[in-house]
Amino acid sequence: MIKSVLIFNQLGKPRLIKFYEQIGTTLQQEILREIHALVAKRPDTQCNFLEGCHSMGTDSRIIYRHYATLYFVFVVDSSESELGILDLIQVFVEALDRMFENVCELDLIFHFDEIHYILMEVVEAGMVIETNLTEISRAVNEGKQLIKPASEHSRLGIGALRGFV
Amino acid sequence: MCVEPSLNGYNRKKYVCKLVYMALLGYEVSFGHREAVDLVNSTKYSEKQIGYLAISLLMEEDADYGRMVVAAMRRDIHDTNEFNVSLALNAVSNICTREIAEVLTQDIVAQLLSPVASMFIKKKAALCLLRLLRRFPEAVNAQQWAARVIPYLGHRDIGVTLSVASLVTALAQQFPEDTRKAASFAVRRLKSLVIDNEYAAEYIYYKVPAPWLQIKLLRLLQYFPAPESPELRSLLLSILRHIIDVSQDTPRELQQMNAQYSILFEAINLGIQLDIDQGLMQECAVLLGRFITSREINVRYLGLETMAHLAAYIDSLDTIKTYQGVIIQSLRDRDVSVRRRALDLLYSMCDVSSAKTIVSELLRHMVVADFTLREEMALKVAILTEKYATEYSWYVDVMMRLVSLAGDHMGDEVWHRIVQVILGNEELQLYACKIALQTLKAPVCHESALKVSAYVLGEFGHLIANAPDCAPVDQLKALQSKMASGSQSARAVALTTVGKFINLFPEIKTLCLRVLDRYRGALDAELQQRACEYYALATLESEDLMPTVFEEMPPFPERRSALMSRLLKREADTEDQRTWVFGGREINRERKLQKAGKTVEDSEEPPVAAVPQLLEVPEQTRFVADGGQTPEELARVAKSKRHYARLLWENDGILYDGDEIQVGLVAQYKPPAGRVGVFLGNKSTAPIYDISIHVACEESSEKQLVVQQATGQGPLPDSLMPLGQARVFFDIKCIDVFATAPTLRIAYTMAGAPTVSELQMPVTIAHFIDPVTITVADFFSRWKQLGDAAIGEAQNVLKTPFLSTDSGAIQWLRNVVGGAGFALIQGADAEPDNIVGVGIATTENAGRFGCLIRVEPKPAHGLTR
Repeated sequence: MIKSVLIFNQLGKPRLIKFYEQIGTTLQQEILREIHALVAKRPDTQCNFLEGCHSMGTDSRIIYRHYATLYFVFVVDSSESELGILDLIQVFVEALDRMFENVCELDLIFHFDEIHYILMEVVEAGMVIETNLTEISRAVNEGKQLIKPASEHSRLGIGALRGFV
Repeated sequence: MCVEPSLNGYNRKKYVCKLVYMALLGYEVSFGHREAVDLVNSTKYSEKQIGYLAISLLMEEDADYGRMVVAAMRRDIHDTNEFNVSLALNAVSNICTREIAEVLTQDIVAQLLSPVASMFIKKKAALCLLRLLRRFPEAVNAQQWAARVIPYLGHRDIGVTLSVASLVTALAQQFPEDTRKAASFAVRRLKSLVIDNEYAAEYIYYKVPAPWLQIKLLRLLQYFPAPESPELRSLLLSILRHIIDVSQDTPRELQQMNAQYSILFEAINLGIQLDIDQGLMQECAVLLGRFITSREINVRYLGLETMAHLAAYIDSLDTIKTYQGVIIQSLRDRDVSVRRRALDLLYSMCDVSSAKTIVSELLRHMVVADFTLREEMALKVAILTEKYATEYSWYVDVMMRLVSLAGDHMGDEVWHRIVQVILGNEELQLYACKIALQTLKAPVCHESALKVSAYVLGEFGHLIANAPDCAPVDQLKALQSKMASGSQSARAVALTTVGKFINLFPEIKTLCLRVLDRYRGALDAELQQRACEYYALATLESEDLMPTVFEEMPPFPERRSALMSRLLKREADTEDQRTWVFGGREINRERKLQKAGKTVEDSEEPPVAAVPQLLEVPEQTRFVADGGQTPEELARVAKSKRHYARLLWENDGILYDGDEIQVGLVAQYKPPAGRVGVFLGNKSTAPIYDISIHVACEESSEKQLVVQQATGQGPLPDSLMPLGQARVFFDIKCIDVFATAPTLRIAYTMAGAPTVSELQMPVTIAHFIDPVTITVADFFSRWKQLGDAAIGEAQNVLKTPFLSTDSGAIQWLRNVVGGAGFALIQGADAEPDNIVGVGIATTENAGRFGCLIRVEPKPAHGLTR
């Protein structure tokens, strides 16, 4: 199963932290730091698989992709296919791209809640649930439709800040 | 936090959202949770959404507001708006407390099986159940609904199939019986996907149809035994073949290559696991050989990993060995992940012929390897060396180098094991002493090496005392020179050695005493105590205490190597039951047997070989203790296992009884030779073709046992009609004592499906033992003789729980011992139930030697000695 999905930038600042097991905040941050330290020093020519995250137990593999300033990291156990997860990261990123049109780090900061909703449509309970991009964006968009008529503001308060950045 | 009572929905949402963001940044957020619960209870979707998100990220399992959350979830699961249902299901899979499992499971199952729920809900419900099943298997009553979930594997919606496949995979591991049907569903779904190309266009990912579903299904099938029906079998085979054929040419685009290869690797894994077709596997080996030289690093990595899996199962390692050079090269890859996989592969593919090269390569690499890798490397080198050592000197050389090179990075198990092995093998001791002294005399001596050397010299220093430069004084001096720089624990071992020297070489007693005297004032309590005690012992008036205390250590009882347990422990600790581990075939087979749900007592038979050159009694027989189990529980494999066990002490009977064929055996033994007739009967209603029957010996016993097809008999018939019978005779010659039984391989084609059955032949060393009658007194004098020499004795305690319940068990045991070729001596022992037997084993090269056996059943404890 997928134990955790992390997105952080090159400096190790978290943009999404999602664990599929109950883990305390302190340990979560520790794991984030550990994985960042392992991943950040690897040049892009090396392979996308890595072992050795001790805080997550011995049976864990890190599978990551590096896009521009961001690292997308999935921590999985041995029951997952490595290349499959690698593809899944690609699907997730493509889904983000559809939602935000040329997704960039700022999108992830200002819509950190929406990232969660998108991820929910791709991975649930540590298992891949849907890989069809059309279906993913349909689910997320229809959820958004439900919000609009009910709420006077299309986004949350922090979303309004976007114009100033 | 002070909350205004009149906080409106928008502001509440805003504040909760900020809390979630703070949690993301790593701050502990332990307040405001109740606001999130309020949001969950709101009727507005936007508020509900944020509320559930906050709860799934922030809520602790034991939160006091848990009850309120469960109530809200329950309401939402039954909501008519499917997005509310989806939110609730998502939250369930994130929080998942025991209460939720108990209260909501039925509702979620209903959603999954409901005829009206949309695909969107069904797939979420399936994964939700999976999460609950993993967390609280006892609370969800999985057996009630498992069978009804399985048909969803054939669902036309790929999303639903995908999540159900995940759920069924987990169910299959917990309830293999209830989910048996899933295999056929999975195979058929794969067929429609791979061969018939039935799928929606949106599921094509870079030209590959639904790779995730393919992977999931291929993975799911690995948890089931190979399908029994020939139709399914051939279907599965054609699917695998199709996948492999498609991958023959390398796709251009990176994403497509990833997707395609991910399926291919999974298909190969499945092929290996089911052990369907060796020809296909050899082809895979070639394909993998191409991958490990690939320029694409991910492919290289996975190629190595899959090849390690292959090496752990495949019959012939020859194809893999042709890539040995490349694999060793990969050990120097720039990427540590690749290096690690290369190490695993080398460990898996190692056998007697390649052991020397591989071990020496690993040692060479040890110096430059990463620190994180060294411990595992050291363990693996130690295990391989012990397992495949053919010369004693090689073993000692390698191990000494190993401790010198990697001493810092390995646990104490390694050096403990070396000492155990040296102590257990007399031939090793002289050579080990020489090397130990050399090690001590070298300018630099690693601390673990110091410990081993000190221990060995202390025990066997006298063996080389007469050689030049090896006089007791030289030994002591060498030891002393390294003692000063050693660590506290190493010095402690060395001090004991000095103590032993006093006993071994009285001529250097004064020198030794001087050393001890110096350490009597050591600051460290342990050293001081040792020095003082040894000093006192040596200066004691009475002369007999010293030799008693420092008597030579007895050989260690043969037991499972601590190294192995340690290595396996590193790989345990997982929710998913692994279907294989790194390492040779034997270890994986053993795992398979254990999985069959049998209590196979891997026992070293307790006979005693009275020949000195046989130090480790390799008579290894598997006795199956199968009392107290109902036949319904036993799978077919297990049944054949029982047939096998019975044939161990009976000369004719049925070895295998299946739906299609029946295999019977008739055996005659005239030590050291024997003849075994194999009868193959067709039980089915269709004729079978292309029959071939072969017997192969395990590599380890190839030299000890020769099995040949007897001359002067007609060829096998080409086909076998229903109820027809064919037979072949084999001549067996026992050259030396052997440990593993040969394998009988029967291949035939039925209704177009080739089938191969592998059965273990019930041929053990026990069949080459003739009963001899001797007197009771004679028996005991010989028994004692053995006991004194402490050689060639193997003792084992078997747990036999049925003993305490079954009164006929003693008689059964008697039959076993009698059937194994021992003459029983009645009334030899004081204890009436004990069974005592004598036999002579005859082998062609090792000659004849006597074997004594003594079985002491202890019904009260359920133990047999």
